[in-house]
Amino acid sequence: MTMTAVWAVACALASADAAIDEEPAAAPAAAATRATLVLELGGDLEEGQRARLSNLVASRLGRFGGLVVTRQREARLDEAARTALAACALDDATCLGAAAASLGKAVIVAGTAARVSGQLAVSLIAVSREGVEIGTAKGSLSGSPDEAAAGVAALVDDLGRAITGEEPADAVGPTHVAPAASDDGLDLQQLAVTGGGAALATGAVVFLVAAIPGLLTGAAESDLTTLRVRYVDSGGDRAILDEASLKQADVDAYRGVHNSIGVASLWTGGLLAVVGGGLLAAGVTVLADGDNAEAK
Amino acid sequence: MTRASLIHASAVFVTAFLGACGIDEVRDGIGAPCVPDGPPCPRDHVCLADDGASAGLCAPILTYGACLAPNYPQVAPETLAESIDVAEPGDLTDLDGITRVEGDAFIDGQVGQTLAVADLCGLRGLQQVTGSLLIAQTDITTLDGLQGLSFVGAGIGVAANRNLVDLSGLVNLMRAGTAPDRDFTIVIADNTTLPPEPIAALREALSGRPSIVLKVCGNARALGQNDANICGPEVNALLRRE
Repeated sequence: MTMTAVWAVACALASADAAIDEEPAAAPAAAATRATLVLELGGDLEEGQRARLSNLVASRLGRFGGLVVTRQREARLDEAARTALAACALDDATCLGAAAASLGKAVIVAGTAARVSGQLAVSLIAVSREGVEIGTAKGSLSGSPDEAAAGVAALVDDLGRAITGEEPADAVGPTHVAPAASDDGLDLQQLAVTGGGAALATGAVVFLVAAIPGLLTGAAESDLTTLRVRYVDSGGDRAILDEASLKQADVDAYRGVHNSIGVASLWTGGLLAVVGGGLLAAGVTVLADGDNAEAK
Repeated sequence: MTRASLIHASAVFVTAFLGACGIDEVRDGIGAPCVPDGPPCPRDHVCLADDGASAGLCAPILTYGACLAPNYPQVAPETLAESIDVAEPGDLTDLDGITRVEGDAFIDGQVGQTLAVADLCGLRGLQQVTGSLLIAQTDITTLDGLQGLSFVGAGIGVAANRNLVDLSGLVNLMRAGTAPDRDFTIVIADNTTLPPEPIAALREALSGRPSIVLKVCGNARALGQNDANICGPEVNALLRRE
């Protein structure tokens, strides 16, 4: 791999980090749109499932032209806001409305998702900043995960209609939650963590193994220097010369391995570790941000 | 650029510098295989071959006699692709480090004149001369500096060096060739102060090397010891570079 390619990788990593660290760009507020915050769903589902459903809710609501949707995970709420939200029960419209007002949102959407008797029970509520319940959607969904997801999408569409009085558009609304990709977003992050970790570990192992011939070469060359001193001190002991001959053969063998596959393997392992480490760091950072926000 | 990005970039640099480095062949030459008339050993080494064997091992030179040992134990050999003809004493200094001369090496004064060279230390790196080596009409007292010499392709002449008393600098010579019409590969001639003992010692040291045939004539006259051997026309022709 050339240095150009190396820098391309480095720059790509740098760009990825920058994108992760940036605050989401503020969505342009059109006159007829309402800023909407979608809280992470509560309930007893496994965390990954809840996160996917929360993402689904936000992305489906984003299809309604009258809503500018921000998911809680991406909202970067401050400590006070997190505290205010944590204090609200999901059926406490007054509390949720006050939280929406304090966050500058027109609408706040909350809900739960739980597994009950083999079915997925989903309950959603939309509250205005005035503390008025402006929409609800509930349902018990069965079938495969895909079928359940379709059911949740239908519930969210009902909720969106209740909030806006409009039908969902095909296009994505003015929100940074991209419906088509966001459903896979968490999977991509988890893939980055898993794949990055595997690449980092593999790369590190390859790098270390590939370094062995070079290290052995250095050690054998050092032995040659020692033998040289011994030879001169002995006044020309032929046995030392023969010993050095064997050591020279070792150096040639180690050097040959290093210069052929060793160098290439060092490059491969090192770059794999670097890229894997970058993916792992990026994935962990995004997931940790989301988890911290939820925890608080 | 964030801290994480800086770490990534640093890792890329470390990878590049570690991984891109192949290991070159220059290293301590002790024990490396060699052929006396093949590629030379690293500097400060001589190719030792047992009793005229075709191949040997590079060995560090144990002593340079009166010359200081050089400080280049891990330097690649260096070839001079032309003959050398030392006409000034300072010319020898330029040859320090040369391991192979592809041609002749003449270190001799002009006819009837002595070259004011007091030693051959400038030839410490020399291991091979593909042509002839002629050292004549100089002020040297020893052949120290030639301890690395293991091969000469067309014979050696050491002649008319009026102060020469020692020949041990040639003890590491492994192989020597000569012209088709000559029956010797080394001629030691007309060195008027050279006693018989160093000649006998050299003959003994080189006795196991079948390619080397020593011819001795006209030495020690200044010592009152007339060398019984009178140099023949073929020796004189050699010394006249014919």
